[in-house]
Amino acid sequence: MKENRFIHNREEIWQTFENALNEYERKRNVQASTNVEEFVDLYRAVSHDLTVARTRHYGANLITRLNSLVLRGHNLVYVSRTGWLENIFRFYTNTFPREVRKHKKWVLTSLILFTFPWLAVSYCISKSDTFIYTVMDRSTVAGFEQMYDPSDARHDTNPPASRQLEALGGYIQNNTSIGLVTFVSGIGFGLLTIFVLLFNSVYLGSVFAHLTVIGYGSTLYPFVIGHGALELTAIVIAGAAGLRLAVALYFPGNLGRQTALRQGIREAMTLAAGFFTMFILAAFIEAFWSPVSLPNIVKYLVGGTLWVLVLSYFFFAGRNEISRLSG
Amino acid sequence: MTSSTPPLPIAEDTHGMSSRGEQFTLKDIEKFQILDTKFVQETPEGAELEIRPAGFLARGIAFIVDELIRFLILLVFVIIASIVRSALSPALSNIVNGATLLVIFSMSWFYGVFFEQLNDGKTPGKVVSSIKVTNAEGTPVGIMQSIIRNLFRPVDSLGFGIVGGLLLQNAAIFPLGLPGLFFVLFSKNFRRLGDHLADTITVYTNQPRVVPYKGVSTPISIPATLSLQDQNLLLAFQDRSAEFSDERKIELAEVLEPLHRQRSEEAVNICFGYANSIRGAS
Repeated sequence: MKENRFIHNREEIWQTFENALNEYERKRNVQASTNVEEFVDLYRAVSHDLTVARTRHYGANLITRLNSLVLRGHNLVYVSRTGWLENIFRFYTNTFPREVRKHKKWVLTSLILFTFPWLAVSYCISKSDTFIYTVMDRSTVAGFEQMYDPSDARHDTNPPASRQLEALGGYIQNNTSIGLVTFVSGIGFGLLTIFVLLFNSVYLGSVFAHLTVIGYGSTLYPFVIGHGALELTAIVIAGAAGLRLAVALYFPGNLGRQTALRQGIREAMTLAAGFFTMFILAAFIEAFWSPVSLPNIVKYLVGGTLWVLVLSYFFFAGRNEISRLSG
Repeated sequence: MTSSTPPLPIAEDTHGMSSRGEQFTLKDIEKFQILDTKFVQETPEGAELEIRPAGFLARGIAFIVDELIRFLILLVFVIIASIVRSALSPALSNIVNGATLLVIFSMSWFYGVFFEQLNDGKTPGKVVSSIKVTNAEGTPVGIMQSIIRNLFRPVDSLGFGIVGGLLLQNAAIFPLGLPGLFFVLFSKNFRRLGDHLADTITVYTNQPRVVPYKGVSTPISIPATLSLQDQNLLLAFQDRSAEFSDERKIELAEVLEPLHRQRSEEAVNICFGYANSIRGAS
């Protein structure tokens, strides 16, 4: 069949398809439409025409036109719906804690990287009064001392709501970004992830040990115990996610490095969605609960409960599903 | 072929001179295709789609425009915050400060995700340079892909712009340059690291111009046996004739002089006639 005859025969179908395309592209949803079957039939027909036109080497204009019609149809028919947003509940009660347990090797590595320097600097600072100044300068230390000075009347009153909102913005921006950077930098063969973990460990460890040694623990610990349950675990999980990426680069196994990396990212993204949520929650606790002035015993009880809840969440949540599937 | 002229082996013998004086034959056209960045994606229906990945320049412009927009949004917030701080109650200025920090946070990590999901893969910068993000197989970019490619943006733009500063500010390492530039220039289909990881690709949104040939000329049978490729060349010549100047049309049509033995306008008309005979009467 010559080209013009072909156009003559099929033009009406192309027109109908193009009209349908214009309509659906405006509504952005084929699935909701009632004549979805008719649309898919048209799409198949035009796809076929494109193939026929190509095989018969018809003119470039015709092929370009059909190609653009099929491309537009293709984009409406094959919208990928991954569905993980729809399963938010399942994600938090099931998928996330299970993925954390599945990657326990990297969670533990990250935990060691994050706790060991902490313990080491704590020991050094307990032995030497001046060791803290090898880690940070005098003005930073003085800043922390002033912040947690028990004689400061600030600790006996609640901060105004506006101060809490400002703090919330700061915590979300700073802490979550640190978490995401810890994860993302795993792509640089994990070196940066390890650096961020070690750096934060040494930094936090020094501040904690120093404030404890000078007797400011009574204001520090009631403040941090609540949000620490989520924030410190989240940093460890962020580290684990970063290490998971690096592992894909070092040991791709039977896969090509790119494929291994993509698979690593898919798994690490589950961890990322989890630690992201944890940082946001921790920011809310840190802004609205931690600075509230209450008897220390109340702060310790609530904070301790949060630690138990978070840890048992990672140890136990989502186990039923496995036994149900396997048994 | 009813013509009395003996068939000529066109593909081998016909040659012309390009404007720079190099000799070329129709067969050289095959070599030119290497320059093309288009690639073909087969759909489950067996149809083959042509996908045109966006090049470095278009992506660079989009990146710069997006960085400027981010910067302007932040600037507006910071200005508002400072005005509020001096003019209003300290309580209100606290809230504005908090909001500014949240804006910085979402600008750094979710600017791209937001627009790519809401506007069919197009951030404002991409709208400016007529490109959009799609999945590698040409389907609209998924939310997960979008999140991944934007999460890794600080790695791509290490040390540059608002997002690129994130890694440096938090990890205090020396700027390493722009890995994204390296990836875009040295990988197939101009993908940056984030694109490789999310398996996405950035393509042109503007379809190639389709200017149907409007003129009328009667079919003229071709006095030679043409290969498929040569036939396509004639069709392409007619299809694209609207883009050429008259002189260029004549120059191209005269390449076939050994075949039709005509010059100037007449040569062009004969070539259109040949094309019509390939297309068939309408």
